Amino acid sequence: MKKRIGVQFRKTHKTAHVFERLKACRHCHTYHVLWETECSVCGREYQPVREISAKVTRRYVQTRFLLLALFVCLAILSADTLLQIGVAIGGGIVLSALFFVLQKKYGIYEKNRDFLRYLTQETENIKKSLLKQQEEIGADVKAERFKDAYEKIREVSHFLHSDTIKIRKIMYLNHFILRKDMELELDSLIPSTYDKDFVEYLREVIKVKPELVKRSVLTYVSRYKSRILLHENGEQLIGQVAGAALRMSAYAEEFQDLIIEFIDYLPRERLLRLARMVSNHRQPGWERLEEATKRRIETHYSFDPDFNSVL
Amino acid sequence: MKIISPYQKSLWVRNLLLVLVAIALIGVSVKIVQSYQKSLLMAQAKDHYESQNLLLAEETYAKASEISAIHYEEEPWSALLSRLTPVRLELESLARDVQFAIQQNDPDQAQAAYQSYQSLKQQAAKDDNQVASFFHQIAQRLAIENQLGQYYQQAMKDAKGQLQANLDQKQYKNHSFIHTLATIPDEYYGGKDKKEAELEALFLRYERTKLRDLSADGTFFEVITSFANSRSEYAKANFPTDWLITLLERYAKEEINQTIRQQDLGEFVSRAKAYLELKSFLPSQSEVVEMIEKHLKEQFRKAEQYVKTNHFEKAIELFQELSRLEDITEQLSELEQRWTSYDPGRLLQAQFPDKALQTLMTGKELWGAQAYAIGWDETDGHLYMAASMEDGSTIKLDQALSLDRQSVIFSLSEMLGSKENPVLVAESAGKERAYSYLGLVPDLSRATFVKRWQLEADGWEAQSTDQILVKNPVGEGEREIAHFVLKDSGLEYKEKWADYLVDSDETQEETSEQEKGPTEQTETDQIPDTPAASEKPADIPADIPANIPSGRTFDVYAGPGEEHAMIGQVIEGSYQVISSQSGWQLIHYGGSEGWIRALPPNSQ
Repeated sequence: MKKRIGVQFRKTHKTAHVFERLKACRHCHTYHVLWETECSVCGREYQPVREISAKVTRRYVQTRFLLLALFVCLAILSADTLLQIGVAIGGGIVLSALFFVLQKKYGIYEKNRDFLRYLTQETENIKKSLLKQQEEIGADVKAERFKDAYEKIREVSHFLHSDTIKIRKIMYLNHFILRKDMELELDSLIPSTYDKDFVEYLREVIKVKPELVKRSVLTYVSRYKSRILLHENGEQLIGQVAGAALRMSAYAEEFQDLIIEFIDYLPRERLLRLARMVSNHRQPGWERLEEATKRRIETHYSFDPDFNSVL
Repeated sequence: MKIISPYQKSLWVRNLLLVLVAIALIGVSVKIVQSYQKSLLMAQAKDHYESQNLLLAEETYAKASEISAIHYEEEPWSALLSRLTPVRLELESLARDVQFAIQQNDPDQAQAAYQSYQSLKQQAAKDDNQVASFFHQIAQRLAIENQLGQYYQQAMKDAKGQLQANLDQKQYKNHSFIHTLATIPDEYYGGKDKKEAELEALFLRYERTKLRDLSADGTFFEVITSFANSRSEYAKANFPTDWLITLLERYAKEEINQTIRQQDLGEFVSRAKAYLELKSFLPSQSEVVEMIEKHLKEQFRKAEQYVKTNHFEKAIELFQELSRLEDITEQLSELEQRWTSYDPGRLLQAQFPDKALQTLMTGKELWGAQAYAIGWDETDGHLYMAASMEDGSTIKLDQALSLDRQSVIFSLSEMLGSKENPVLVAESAGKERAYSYLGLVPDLSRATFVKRWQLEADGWEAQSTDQILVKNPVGEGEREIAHFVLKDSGLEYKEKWADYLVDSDETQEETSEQEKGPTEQTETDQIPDTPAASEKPADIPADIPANIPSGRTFDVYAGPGEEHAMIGQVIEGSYQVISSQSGWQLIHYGGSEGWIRALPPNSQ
């Protein structure tokens, strides 16, 4: 049994979009997703990519305006008479005004389009920056700085969605003593295939934060039920998962087979919640679950007054 | 990873354009300011034009025209002003030239500026009234005429002062006043005629005084050189010089005539040569030149007379003196050839000047030479020859002979060899026999003597061109009168021709003959009728025919005197006397002429 350590994770920054987590160094032309605010190479402050893209767009606009100004200046310089100079200046003013109006009206669209284009152009650079940070994570692991490694990979994983990342995250999490006050995650760690470390993590996390069990977790447990049963106390684990599924009637209905199968492993409190849920949902589709619940109550809790009043 | 991020790229492009636009804006600002200034100036120019102030109008218009930022359509008023600008610029440039010429005190530059000004003035006068009026106003403003007037008056004063100073100091080296006075325009003298009259009188007085002073102290050459310098100064200033030439002719005629009267040919030639060097500016009918040419003709005639009378030395001396005046190289060369032909012995003197040679023989057209002379130096035992060839070259030969120097006698054998290439025979006392003989033929192409044969014998006689009878030779044919054949390799024994009997009397006679010496033999030797009867060597000179009875021989010289080269010998009575002079007789000799003593020394 691995020795788990007690840690305090730093708070993660909540953003509306993932790209908001991405910062860039204008000088080094590198990207960063961690919590540092200054470039480790040049010491300059990181800028959000959206802001940088907006600056680039603003410069495109300025460039076009300068081109227009240059054209007008050349027209004035080429003018041979006063009349021609006047026409060139007038034309320049009209064109500048038109350009200004158009820019005001359609500039916002250009900003978004340029941002997309910017990200597309910089995909390779962003990838390389993320890979570099993964190398740093590897170094942290070698130095057994699992907390730092996890915190970093937690940030990187916003951009890289792969089993490798997930498995590495689970591996790091399995080094810690999980607490309720931690910002834990579960469904974002579900690998595409069976992973015993994930199951172990599930066992731990369900103890402190059963509310993290959502549909994807339930689906995973249902899918790999037979392999989970091979774990020590596998039945109890699945029973806990099934109990956690009782948070929402929708999960109870959807995963009633799992609940029925492992109803014997439901704790009393979960069984009581199931009984109340079943009594509240006396409708088609719940019959099997109701019957299984009744049977369990009759066999094990018939003497319990709390159950008597429910079903 | 891209090296340049979009952020940096956009920054650079924007900044580059910013710089370009900034530069363009500066350009635009300058253009707009200049355009504004030009429009203001044009408006001012038009105002001045309309108020008939052409000077200001043109000046303002010129300032406006210098601004090339924008262009204005040409209007009638601006067209006139644009025509006036070159006039003003030319006058301003001219004013600068005038000032520079005055500062430099350079009459040529001042004259050029004056002429340019006059030319511009005439052009302006031909143009319309406005241009002429404008020209007048500008010229007045620049004060060109005033400056020129002041300059020329001062220059005239200075030049006349210099002329007088030259006369006072009798120093006639600085003639710059001529140029200065001549280049002062006519108007400052009061007209062209007045200028010429005044200057001619001034210069004539100056040159006369100068001539008087120079001829009193200087040489003819110095005087005419000074004249030539003055003349070139006048010519440079385009001033007529007829009066100066007349003065020069008069002086030169008197001076050269004096040398003719004094029969001082050297001085005549020097003066004539100096004077003829001025021929380029002398009149075509120059009396002095005619006089020189006439005297020269007389001198050439005299030289030819010397040649005719074979006084070549005098002729050459005269020709050489005259050659300083005329190129008579060909005549001199021809004369030298004639003299050499007349006296080939000169060849030896010319080719071996450090030798005191005894001339043995001279002649013509043998061995391919046009003329030749052969000499003998008894002290070093060398035989010398000098030959002049048809192409004018001279060849010299030098051959050491291993013969007894005291007794050697040379002769030409016409029988041996060919007529044009006879063998030269050297005879001297022998060691084993009475005589030692050496046959030589000059090879002029190789400049050497070719030894044909050498032997010792008691005598020999040529039978034909290659047959020789030798008496008692050393070696083959001893005690024989032997028949030898002359081949390329030398003499070759052929057969015995007769026995050679030696008796005591003959030996004694030969011995006594040897003691008499080789020179006396020429007077007494005879050619033996037969080899058997030959008692003396066949060393009779070629000049003396075998059938002429032996008489007194006289040396023939190239000139009347023993200091001349000996060119041969004649026998008494075999020549014709042409004339006599100071104990010498001029005779016909060998198709040419020669001199012999009227009374030969051996007759005394």
